[in-house]
Amino acid sequence: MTSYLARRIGIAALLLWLVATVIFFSIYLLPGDPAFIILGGLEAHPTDEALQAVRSQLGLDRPLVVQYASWLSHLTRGDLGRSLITGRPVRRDLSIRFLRTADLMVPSISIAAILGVTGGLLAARARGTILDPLLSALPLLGFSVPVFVVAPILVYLFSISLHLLPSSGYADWSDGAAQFASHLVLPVAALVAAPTATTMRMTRSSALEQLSLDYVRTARGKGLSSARVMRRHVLRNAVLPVLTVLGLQIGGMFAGSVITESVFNWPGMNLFLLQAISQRDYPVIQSVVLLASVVFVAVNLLVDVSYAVLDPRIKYS
Amino acid sequence: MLSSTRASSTVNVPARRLARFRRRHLRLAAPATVVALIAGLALFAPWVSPYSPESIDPTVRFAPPSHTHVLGADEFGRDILSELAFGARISLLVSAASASLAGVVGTALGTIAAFSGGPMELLIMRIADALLCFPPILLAIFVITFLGSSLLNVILVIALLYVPPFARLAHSSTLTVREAEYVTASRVAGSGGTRILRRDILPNIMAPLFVQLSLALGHIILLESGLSFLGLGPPPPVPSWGRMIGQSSRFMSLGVLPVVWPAVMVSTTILAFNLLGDAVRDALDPRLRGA
Repeated sequence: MTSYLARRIGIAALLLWLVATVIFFSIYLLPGDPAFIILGGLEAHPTDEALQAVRSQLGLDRPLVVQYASWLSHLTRGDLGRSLITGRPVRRDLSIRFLRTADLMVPSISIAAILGVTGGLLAARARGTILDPLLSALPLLGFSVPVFVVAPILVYLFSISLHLLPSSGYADWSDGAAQFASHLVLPVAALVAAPTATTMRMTRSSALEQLSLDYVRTARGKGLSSARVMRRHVLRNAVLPVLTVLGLQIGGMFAGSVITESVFNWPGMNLFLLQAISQRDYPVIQSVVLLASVVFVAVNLLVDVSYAVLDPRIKYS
Repeated sequence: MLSSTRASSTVNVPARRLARFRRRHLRLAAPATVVALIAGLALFAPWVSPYSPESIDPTVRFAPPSHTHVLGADEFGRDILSELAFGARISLLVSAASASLAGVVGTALGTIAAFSGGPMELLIMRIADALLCFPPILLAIFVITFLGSSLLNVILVIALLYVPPFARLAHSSTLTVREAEYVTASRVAGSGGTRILRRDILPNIMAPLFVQLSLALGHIILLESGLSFLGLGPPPPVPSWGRMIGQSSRFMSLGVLPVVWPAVMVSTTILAFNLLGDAVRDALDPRLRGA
């Protein structure tokens, strides 16, 4: 187990190094000069001397390999550089933004897991009944309706028409729990639909697969109620593939949260990225994309490892 | 019930055959019809549209549906039906082009990796793994903002995102097929590498790839309209569904129809492609049925 864990972490670290390298070089290969941006762009007509001064100040006049080595060594120490626009350290701003995105993602993924697994088990039990077509069509509808359709509809219903909830913005915990929660409801609701649908579909098919196995017949044969068979036997066996899907959902949730943050003007890391992109703020862009990849890789690693913990039949060496 | 069916069976054979045919093929035919309708709308957009999708008429801003503007007009007084028809062109073009490009490139890379083995395999598959580490939309946003959001760039970026899944699938399928006896037989019979790839391996790994392709079509429409929604899709003046929703949602307190129509359109299209993908999978790969 330990050596398995060590190997998996090693592979993950290697992948992240590859990702970091790709991000670093793609930014330098793409057109656009950071020095121009700092000096106000082409319209400001910066002089060559000024450009040169900024470049040497940022270390951009060094050979690319030297820049790469220095960037990487700062990165390993957790130094993400400074924003080209505000001059503030990226790390501090990003950690605040990241927590706000987590405010959206954590409730969404939890709700999606609970609703999706429950719904999937119900759908599996309802197989062959009148409800079956409805319950198997529901998830399909859920991931066919995009976030950017759900979000405006929610805003229209609950804030423009009914004036129940704020249409956008963010309230900090310090503004009071009610304020915080009222700003959270609509974005989370918009974000939750797609992962719930995927989880439900996966749970249904995974549970159906288990239901056809012998041990279920045995459990029924010894007189257990079907609710108990579902909960104690099927759920525990069916949950593993669902876990993988939930892990992969994190990637999809990023897509959802980019759009959600943009619709609801939620000042998380994705909005930070969109702003940085329009300003060509390279250090910020690099850091956000890298952080998102770290989260993505870490979650999937966690899912793989939790397999071993949850399923005693799986032994890793 | 049973006896009555039996009694009428002599008369109703064609009807019953039709019913059976319908039951079996409805899952394929229904979404295929919807897709065909949308494709028709896209193809005949200049003839279907009563107006130019770009023509602005301030006098009809937020006009309700009427005989002059069948679906109403948007916040600039543009005809919504015309915008939807031309937007269908963009969505379907991007989806078809990116999916087929990704399918061809991914399949080629995956089969070559599996077939050649060694450092080549390692290189191709590790790059595919690394690309899969990026949350896809971030990679798309990242590349498009630097390269600019032309139609071609959007197609290329989305294709890039979908190469790794195709490469992985083609790689794993080729690995299983490569050891099959008919491949050995073909090699003994004197076939060279390219001939084996083309004649023996490719036809036998096509089914899962085709399923992947049909599912990718729907996902790509979702991705493209999401990018358009954020203002990173194919640039104006060409209308696109995502941008219609993005722009009109700012004026929802004045009129909600300009958001509703493209929302319905994009959801229906994605739903149709997803249903079609499921049906294709069930038809081609019975082992995956109901999964």
